[in-house]
Amino acid sequence: MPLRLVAPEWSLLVPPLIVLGTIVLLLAIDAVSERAARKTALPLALVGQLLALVSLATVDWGQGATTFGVSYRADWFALVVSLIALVSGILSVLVSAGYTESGLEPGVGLAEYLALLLFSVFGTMVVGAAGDLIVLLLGLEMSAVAVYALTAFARRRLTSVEGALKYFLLGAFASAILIYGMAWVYGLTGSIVLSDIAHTLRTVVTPGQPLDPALLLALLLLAVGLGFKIAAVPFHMWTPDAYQGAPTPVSAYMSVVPKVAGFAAVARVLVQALQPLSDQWAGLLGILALITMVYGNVVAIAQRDLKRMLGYSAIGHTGYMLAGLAAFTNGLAGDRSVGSVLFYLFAYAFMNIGAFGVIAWLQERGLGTTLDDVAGLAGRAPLAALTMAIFMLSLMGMPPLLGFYAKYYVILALIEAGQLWLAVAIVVMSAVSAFFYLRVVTQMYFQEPGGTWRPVRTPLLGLGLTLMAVATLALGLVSGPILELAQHWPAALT
Amino acid sequence: MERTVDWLVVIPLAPLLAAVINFLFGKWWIRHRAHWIAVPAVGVSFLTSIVAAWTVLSRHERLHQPLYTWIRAGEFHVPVELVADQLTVVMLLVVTGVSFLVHVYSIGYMHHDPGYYRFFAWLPLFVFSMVMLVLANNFLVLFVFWEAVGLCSYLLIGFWFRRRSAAEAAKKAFVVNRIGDFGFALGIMLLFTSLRTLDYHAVFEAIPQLSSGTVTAIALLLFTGAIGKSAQLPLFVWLPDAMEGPTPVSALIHAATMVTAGIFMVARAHPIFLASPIALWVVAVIGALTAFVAATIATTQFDIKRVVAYSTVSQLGYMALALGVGAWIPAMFHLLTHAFFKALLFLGSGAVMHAMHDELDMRRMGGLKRWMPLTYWTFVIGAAANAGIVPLAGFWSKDEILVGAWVGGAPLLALVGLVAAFFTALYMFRAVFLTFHGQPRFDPHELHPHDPPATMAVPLVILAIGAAVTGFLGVPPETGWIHHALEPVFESATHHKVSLSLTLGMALASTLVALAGLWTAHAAYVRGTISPAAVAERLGPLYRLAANGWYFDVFYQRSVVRPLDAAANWLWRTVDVGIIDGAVNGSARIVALTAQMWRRLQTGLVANYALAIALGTVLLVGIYLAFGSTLFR
Amino acid sequence: MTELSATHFLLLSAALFIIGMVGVLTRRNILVIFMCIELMLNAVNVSLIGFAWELHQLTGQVFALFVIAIAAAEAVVGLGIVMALTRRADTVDIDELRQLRE
Repeated sequence: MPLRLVAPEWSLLVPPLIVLGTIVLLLAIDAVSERAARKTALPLALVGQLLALVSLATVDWGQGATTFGVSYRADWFALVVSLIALVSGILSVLVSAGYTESGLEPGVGLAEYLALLLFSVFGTMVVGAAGDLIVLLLGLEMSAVAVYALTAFARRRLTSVEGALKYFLLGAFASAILIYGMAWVYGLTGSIVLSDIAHTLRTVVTPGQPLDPALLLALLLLAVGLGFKIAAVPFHMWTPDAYQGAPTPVSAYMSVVPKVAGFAAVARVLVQALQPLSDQWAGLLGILALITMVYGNVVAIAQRDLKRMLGYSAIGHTGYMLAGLAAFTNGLAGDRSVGSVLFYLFAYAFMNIGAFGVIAWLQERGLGTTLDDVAGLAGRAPLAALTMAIFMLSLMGMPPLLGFYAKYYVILALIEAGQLWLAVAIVVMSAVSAFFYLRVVTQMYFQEPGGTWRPVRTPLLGLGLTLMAVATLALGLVSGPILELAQHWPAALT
Repeated sequence: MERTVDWLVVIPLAPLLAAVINFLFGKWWIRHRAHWIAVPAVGVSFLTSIVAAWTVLSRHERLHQPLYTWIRAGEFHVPVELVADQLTVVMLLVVTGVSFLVHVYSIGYMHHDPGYYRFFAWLPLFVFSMVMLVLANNFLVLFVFWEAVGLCSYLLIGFWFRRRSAAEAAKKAFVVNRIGDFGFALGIMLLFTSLRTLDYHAVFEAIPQLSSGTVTAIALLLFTGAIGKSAQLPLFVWLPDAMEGPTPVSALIHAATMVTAGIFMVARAHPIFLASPIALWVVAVIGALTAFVAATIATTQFDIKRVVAYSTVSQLGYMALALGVGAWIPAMFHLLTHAFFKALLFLGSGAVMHAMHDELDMRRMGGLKRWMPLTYWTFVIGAAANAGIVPLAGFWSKDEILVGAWVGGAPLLALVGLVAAFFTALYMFRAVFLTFHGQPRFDPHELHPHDPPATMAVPLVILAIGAAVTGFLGVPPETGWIHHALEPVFESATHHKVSLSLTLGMALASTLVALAGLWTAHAAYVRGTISPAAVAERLGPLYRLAANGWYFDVFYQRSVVRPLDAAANWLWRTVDVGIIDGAVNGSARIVALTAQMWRRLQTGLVANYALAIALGTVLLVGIYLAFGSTLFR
Repeated sequence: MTELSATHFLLLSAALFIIGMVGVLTRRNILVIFMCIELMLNAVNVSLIGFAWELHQLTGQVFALFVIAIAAAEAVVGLGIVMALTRRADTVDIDELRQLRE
């Protein structure tokens, strides 16, 4: 029989390939001329991601088409994950604009920085479109490993290296556990293809019966590995250290995109492959959600460093999102559950990158990152203070800002799934979170300014912050269509 | 009849795109070419509105375009749809038409401003919001854009934010409007809790099910919103201060369009108001009082823009009076004519300011007629229309309102309106005579007043023509074009039979009153047979009452602003310092203590972190074994 | 003598995995911790190949190859970070890195 070569469906791969092409171009220009790279890297990274964003429209996601066998799936879920990853990537590049202009040591590559950032975006897009465990793992590691390096990017500063090292060691540790879980899933089902795993499990598992211990082991190992990626308590401990140590724009980025990759992996693995075990894992996620949101929101109160506070607040938000997944049940309520989590991630991207962006903006002006540094900001820079206030109130969940809709949809999914007390927990924890979010606002508006203030111009950073503030204010108006898009996916699951 | 179309969205979309483009690229790339984006966009919007109006009015059908579902969650279901019926298209024509002219005028007026691109980003954004407000088909969308036009208004009042007075005025407008909007929001919530829907059609169908008390509460709360936005008594104080914004903004937002949103809303929701005679009565009384009070204040002002501003308040009062007495069509008719002559008056005073290097005090003007003939004649047309001189626009619409009040069971209010009409003619021609007649009270060698350039002059002329002829849309009274156009909307409202003698009588009366006002102004400011100073002296406290805006501002300052300041200060000290920082009360203290304890878990040691991961795994196993899968289910 | 079965592979793998894990938890030298993580990854590889052998498939072996690639990538970045650390702090003792805490 003659050998037949099958070409992949290139058309499905256009958006990630554009990102990949941009990375190659960035590195190539950097290799040829560092001077040219310093000038062109930032616009290139922006344009590349914008192009990729536009090219999302060229793919027919409704088909759920696959390529490379079934390893790559272009379905609705892949679209939404790519969308969030690219939007966050663009916003992060804008936030990085100030830092890369002034904060980098001379000779340390701006192009490398952006290439790493784009690698991570690329990895996240791959996780979203993964059809089997290997591709999923590759994407997940790509999105994480690049961020390890980014965290250490301010290598003159010891805390930056320390944060990176902790993140890296624990990340590798958790990856080993995750892969071990994947190996067991493979061994027990005989396949690494997500849909085949679900198919096999359906014949193995009978509802109501206790689970095969080996399967339980696999599930738990996966839960731990993925729990680390999304920073769920008790696998969260790297988060505050890494967020505080990393350069602020990197903190902004890594508070969102690796988390998107993590949640995409959770959805692909648990919701798609292990759907027949949903009774088991939904309960587990419920417990994790509760511990996570309580721990994150409570400890955030005791923080004075804003980046660290946002690190704990990020843990709290992971808890809310996990609660959304814990609402998963087969059928319509399941669509709601996954949809609400995707919407949450989308909303979270704007307000969290925005909040870190304001801190980066302050650092450009010679201030530090503690609560005292934002004191009296409203008198000094009313627009920046207003922007920060919008992000804080939105993170708190105040209507009618974007963060409110995010929580609202999660709570609604929980109510529909009958898990009232998780819904109540979210409401209570939102109230607790008011402590530390509002404290930032009162500091900005009712205190006298301190510290030295060095006026500089950061137009791109300013543009990014404005865009995010406007989005946080106004995107609630189109929450319906976005949610609908996010809810499309599970229908195309089987 | 209802027809689904897909082009209605062009009307809001074009200005929105223009706003976004100018906002994003204005600062660096577009700069002084910003009008090339904004003006055509609003033009497209205007042309599409004409098509929509023609379709709706000639074929007697409602246009309808579903856009998307904003919130879809369980019972709460809010679709965003554009709906154009007869009432909507009349508003659309006014909004986009006047906006277009103001945009053109602004090219010349704002030419030297460093914030040129910013201006041409906010202005189309306002048009977008206003158009969406008009096209909405449920109360929640209406509310969202109600807030959005408010936001644009503050942005534009505070456009010269480095000027302290502008920032203060923007803040005042913001705060005062919040009070009204709070009531409005409450009204909408009450509507939703009692009917479980916010869709216009469904709400109006379901109104008879409600008890009269509920309907009255809803109607009054909704009207609170209108009091704020349409600057009625007692919340009118923000509008005169809003004149700190650039003059084209005053013309567009604070005269022709946004402030009429309250009037439009009441007209839109007329089935609710019709179900509550008490609410209607309140609307009518507040309208009449506003018309009178604002007219007296306008008579005592020397700042030309403030005269026109108080005149706006007064005219909005007439519209509210019309709504309250059930004269729905005359209210909308007056809204239409007022948009023309008031935009004209503002743009005219803008031209004067432009020529006089931002001088606003009429005591330092005079005799401008000779240098600015075009501005003079257009301004006179606007003033005469405002004063209700036959046969200009204001005469026809104001007359119908007075007739409506008379037959609507409120002859007393009609009389109040007539008295206000005397003051209207008086202050309008006082402004004309002080500004354009007599000897110049400035140094003509230093200032060289001149007519404005073409981009500013052409809109003036077009508006002047509008102010002169739009009145004929309502001729003959009760059966004119405007009445036929709007009749289908207000079918449910009762119509009073109006006799010819009453119409003629009222027309005669209001003409005489207007002429009396004109004559008084002429006597005082041209012939000098009456001394204004002596009259002011004679009236004493009454004059001071009017000159100080009936002391509303002072009252608010003493009774609201200062106590609130003190309360906020106290609240901040106890809440922030006491509770958040000091954690004085029980639950807060526990949370704070827990936070302090738990943070110690984060030791900074990697080994401990890894142990947490390992122990966490064990914990999960334990939880699973202990509870199994029954947990949560 | 019993025949070699998947169980043997899995037991070996589990033993290696646990040894690696305990190493991560107890050692203080960063490089040793890192080697322990490599050990865990290789334990996973043994499992994967054991499963593949039992299932008569290639998939597991391919998976193992990818895991090796991932381990290599992590090693590059990880050692880079350690290099940066030694330049700044002149230590490879993980317990001395405690600036970021609480």
